[in-house]
Amino acid sequence: VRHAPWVAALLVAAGCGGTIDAHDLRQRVETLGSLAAEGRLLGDDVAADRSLSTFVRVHARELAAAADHQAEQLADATAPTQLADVRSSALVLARRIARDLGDLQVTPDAMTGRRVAAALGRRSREARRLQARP
Amino acid sequence: VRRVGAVALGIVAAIGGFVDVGELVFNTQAGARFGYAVLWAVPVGVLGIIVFAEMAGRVAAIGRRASFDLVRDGYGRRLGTLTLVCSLALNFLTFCAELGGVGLALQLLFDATPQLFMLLGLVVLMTAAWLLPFEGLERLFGYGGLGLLVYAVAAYHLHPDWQAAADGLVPELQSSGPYLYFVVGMLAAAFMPYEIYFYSSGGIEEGWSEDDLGANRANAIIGFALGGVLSAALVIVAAQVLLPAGVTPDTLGTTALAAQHTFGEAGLILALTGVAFAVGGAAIDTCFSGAYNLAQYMRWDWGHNRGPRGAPRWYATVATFFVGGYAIIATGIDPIRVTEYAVVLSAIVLPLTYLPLLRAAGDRDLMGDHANGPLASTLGWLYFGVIVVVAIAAPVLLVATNGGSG
Repeated sequence: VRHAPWVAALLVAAGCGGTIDAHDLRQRVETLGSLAAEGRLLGDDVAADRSLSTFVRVHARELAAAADHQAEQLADATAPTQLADVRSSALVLARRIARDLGDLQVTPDAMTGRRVAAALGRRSREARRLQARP
Repeated sequence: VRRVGAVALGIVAAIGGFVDVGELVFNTQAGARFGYAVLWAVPVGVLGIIVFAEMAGRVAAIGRRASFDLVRDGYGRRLGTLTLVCSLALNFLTFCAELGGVGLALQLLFDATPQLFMLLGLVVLMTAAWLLPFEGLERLFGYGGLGLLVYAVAAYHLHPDWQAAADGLVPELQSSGPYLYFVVGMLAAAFMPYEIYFYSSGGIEEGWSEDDLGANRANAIIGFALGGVLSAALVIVAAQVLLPAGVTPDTLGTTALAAQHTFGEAGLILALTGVAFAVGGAAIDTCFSGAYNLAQYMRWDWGHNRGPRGAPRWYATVATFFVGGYAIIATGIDPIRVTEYAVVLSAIVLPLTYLPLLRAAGDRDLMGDHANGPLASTLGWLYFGVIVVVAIAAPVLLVATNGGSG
């Protein structure tokens, strides 16, 4: 119990929990928008058969891991009341982006590429809308 | 014919050596975030490195002095040792990043763990460094790095707004912290000291003399300018492909994606092959530079061309870099982050490296009729001022902007 404040401080410093402010939240949503937009480009290339499956798998895995990481951080963070809604929406968005990218990683074929590109295009627009929220 | 060959060799070596893993990602990030507004940092940096590379080659050819001979003789023991320690650490960190970059490029091509490809890259680099002559190393990594020209072709193919690109060449200072961070970072990348250590020691390895001054000038001007063309091409391609899509790149994969999105599979393969060779060349440059610096400072026999028997401690240092670098990067540390930490060290190393070179190149006792004339001298001191500003600003902006993220 005596060490609890130190442990809590360490966890916050390590990104495990803590309160998220508006600036941090906006940056995380921006990152999610970027990941979705990049995934859309990758999906477009897969749909047009303009890529190597090895590259698609590695890069989609990398992007999905980054989206998962954002989801974890958003899930651990507590937001002030006025940001709670945006945080929840961002968390859902992060999970969906990670899932879409995971699909592309597992099945890098033209049909999946088309579907994922369309889905990630929507997620990218959703991220822009979230960013614009007060 | 030999001189023409020497120039051609310098050109391909510069293409391979000028664009390292940090710069590949950094320039792409800059173009994707700020479009053409950061382009002016490329010619400003390239002109500076041309001025100093030409001086380093001239001092090597006429004065027979490499960079760390000048550091040792130009500074007292404490300052000289500080310069040596910081430059060794900087070279080592950069070497770790380049070795990691080779692993990442091969992983993107073949999909296996990067650690496996880092080990493979290490074995290939060690074998090449052991078996090939100095010129052969330049040729292998330089020609291989030519794959990166895909970005120059892509920049043209994407039909950029040339008027906007030309406007971007006019220096503009915006007050935004991240913008300044990227501009300063691009300038710092152009002046990375290992290029000068490698270039001047390479001139001595190749036995340059007064007869080679023309080739030195051509190497410096054409070679580094071509490196600059590649840097600018990365910015333009990112501005055309990634900026409109809203992508903020953070990995080498995004840089490769920009080539793929333009030219498909062929563009991707050329880009990743070019990256692997160029970054492999940069790994050799940094590793050799570390060994050159230590050997020159300690007055050991040095040089790749002397062989392990002629320069045993130089070869032992190279081997230590290889093994130590792999041990660090195999822990899974992100090579791109490592290059960011290197910026902090470069703040100390940059001015301390360039000052003795500038003084030696202007020294009539050492250089005779080949000492700096008014133009070289003015440009040299002007750029030294730029280097001091960059060296102070880079770590401050790195911390203040949280690595450019704002």
